[in-house]
Amino acid sequence: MNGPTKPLLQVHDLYKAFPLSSGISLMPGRAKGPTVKAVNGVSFEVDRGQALSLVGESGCGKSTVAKLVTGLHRPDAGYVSINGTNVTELSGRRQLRPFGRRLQMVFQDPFASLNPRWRVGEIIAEPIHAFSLAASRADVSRRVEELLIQVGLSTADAGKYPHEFSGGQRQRISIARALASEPEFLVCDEPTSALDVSVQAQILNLLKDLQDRLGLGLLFISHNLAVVYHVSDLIGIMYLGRLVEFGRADEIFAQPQHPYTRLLLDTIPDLEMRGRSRAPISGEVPNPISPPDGCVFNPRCPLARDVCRTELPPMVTMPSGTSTACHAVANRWGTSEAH
Amino acid sequence: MMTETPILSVRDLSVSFAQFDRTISAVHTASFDVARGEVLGIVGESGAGKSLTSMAIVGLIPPPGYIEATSITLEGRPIHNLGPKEIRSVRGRDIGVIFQDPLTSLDPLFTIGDQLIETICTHLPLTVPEARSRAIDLLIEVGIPAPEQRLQSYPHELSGGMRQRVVIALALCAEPKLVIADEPTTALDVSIQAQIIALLLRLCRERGMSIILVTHDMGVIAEAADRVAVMYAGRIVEVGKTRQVVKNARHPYTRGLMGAIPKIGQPRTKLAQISGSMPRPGTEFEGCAFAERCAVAEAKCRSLRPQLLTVDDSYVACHVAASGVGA
Ligand SMILES: Nc1ncnc2c1ncn2[C@@H]1O[C@H](COP(=O)(O)OP(=O)(O)OP(=O)(O)O)[C@@H](O)[C@H]1O
Ligand SMILES: Nc1ncnc2c1ncn2[C@@H]1O[C@H](COP(=O)(O)OP(=O)(O)OP(=O)(O)O)[C@@H](O)[C@H]1O
Ligand code: SF4
Ligand SMILES: [Mg+2]
Ligand SMILES: [Mg+2]
Repeated sequence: MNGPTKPLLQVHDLYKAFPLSSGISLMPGRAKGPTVKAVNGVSFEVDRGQALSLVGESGCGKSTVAKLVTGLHRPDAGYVSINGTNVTELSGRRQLRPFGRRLQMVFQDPFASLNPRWRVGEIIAEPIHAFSLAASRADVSRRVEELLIQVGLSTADAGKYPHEFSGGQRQRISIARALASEPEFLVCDEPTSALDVSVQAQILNLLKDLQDRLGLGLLFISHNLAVVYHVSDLIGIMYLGRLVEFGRADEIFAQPQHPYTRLLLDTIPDLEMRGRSRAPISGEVPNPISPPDGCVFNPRCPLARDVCRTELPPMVTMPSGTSTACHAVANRWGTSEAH
Repeated sequence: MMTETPILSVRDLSVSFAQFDRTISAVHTASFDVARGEVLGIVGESGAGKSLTSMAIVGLIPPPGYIEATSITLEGRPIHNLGPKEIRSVRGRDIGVIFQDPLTSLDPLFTIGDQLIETICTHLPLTVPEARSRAIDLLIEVGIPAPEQRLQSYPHELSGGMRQRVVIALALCAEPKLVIADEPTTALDVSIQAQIIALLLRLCRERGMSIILVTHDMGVIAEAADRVAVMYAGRIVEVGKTRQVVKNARHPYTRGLMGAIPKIGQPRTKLAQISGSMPRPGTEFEGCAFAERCAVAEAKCRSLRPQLLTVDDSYVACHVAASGVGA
């Protein structure tokens, strides 16, 4: 079953919509009113030791994909498989348990994900106990101490409660907890945005080391494009619930194809202080409640033509290996190929 | 010397936590001013005391924590000795606060519309329909699509970045004189981030609003801040004009920080990190808190605590940087 050819993580055509609250009742009727189409047909694969980053505007569905992958949301359609086993169809604790250990998540919101009544040592030891990963009490505390040091905290911190820590320190506690069960695949939703750049460097170096040494697979979400550049082997650019570009990170940074990717890479804050002013991407802000017809990016796209307003562009893979869903790009590539 | 009274003036602010056997001090005698219309950036190591410093200004240190200060004044008026009720009204009306954790400012049981409208009605003389339309305008300004429909959403139904923008709208809705923004843009994509920064800078320009901007994102600092204060282990170790601090930092910690920033186009090898870790509040030592990790430390650094001194046009707390002037 665990054939070596199966990718570590496979995500196949995921869909997820949420009912929009009417504001009248606390439990709005299902599927009756308008819905938020958070994820619309997303597929990708990640191999052992690889890191895939999802990048895109706030609200485009990145965290929802992360939660679908880790089983925190059930997809409306599509499935997720790990080492070739479809985990979306599994149910019940017994079946899901082994995957709980192999797949861990660091949440975007570290504050909400730590139990305030538990000491930090207990929080980190919990997965070690739950999956019987240590033989003795002494082994557990040794492992907890090792994890604390790996994320730049001190062993004395094991005895404290979450509220005694700063934002970035809490973020590191949740990273230590996620690593405690020795996962094969780690989903990190904005793992370093609460960290100063020096601690961030330490965490990114640690993740890289786990990738190289243990073949850890990563699904990484960050708005910091320099961090994404540094971490990723692969990048998926999302817009309004869809992947609009997918490919090797170095290719996409060197030669972004999709008009949205190009605008995005133009809005990176300028550390060099050349006085260049950043223009936010202009035009109508995308609305997942009623996405536009045709290409979802067409209302803001400088290249949009009639076909863009009526037909959804398919993903086309270019010779560089980058796949892009854009009529203009497909057209340009089609003509240049004819030469 | 300052000619105009600063919006905010903080002198010798300390924050400590009483523990059963001792008192640990997390912020030590921080002093700084924020001028009218100015953006003061605060950067520094995670756990250095940035959030505590900003929360102390608005009286939000949870017990057993407490503050001591020679003075904290808002437009010349002392605010460090106010009772809970008075400081609460300063907090909503004169000083808008954007917390590092957006969920602490939002009540999970109420829609974001309820929360925005209530806050606006508490602080501004507006009717509910007027407050509602102001709420919608604010949501548009912070880039939330379909704002009318979103007023009916509960916080958990929004994405991380949307919640953060709602919190920004809440902080701005009473037209405060000073905004304390703790990591306001970290959950935001670069495009929305650019839009929020443009909005904040416009409010500084047009209304003379001032901002204390706490962030780890040096790109945001470079773009938005007029001056930057760098904190390490509870102390301000460097203050200067943004260009000076970003391009030509004097304190060895600040230099290390700048060197750890990943950059697009660089080889994707191991990132530079500052070895070792920051001493925790409560650790007793003499000398400079950074000495253990500092590449240029001298004997003096381990025995004598460096004071924040003027070096050219900035302030630095470092023996080596202070003696290196002209060298
Ligand atoms: N539990 C939920 N109930 C209702 N709507 C939801 C829920 N979770 C997410 N949504 C909606 O789904 C869309 C996508 O949200 P998601 O959190 O995936 O965005 P994101 O890409 O992670 O954004 P950000 O960068 O701001 O974190 C948003 O419009 C959001 O309002
Ligand atoms: N309630 C508390 N009890 C004891 N110590 C605390 C408490 N709150 C904060 N601290 C300590 O005070 C120090 C400063 O915390 P603060 O939240 O100001 O850091 P910060 O600079 O904002 O860090 P970050 O960038 O990670 O948010 C930290 O070392 C933290 O552990
Ligand atoms: S398909 Fe059309 S609208 Fe969409 S990105 Fe390409 S050119 Fe722009
Ligand atoms: Mg998210
Ligand atoms: Mg903080």
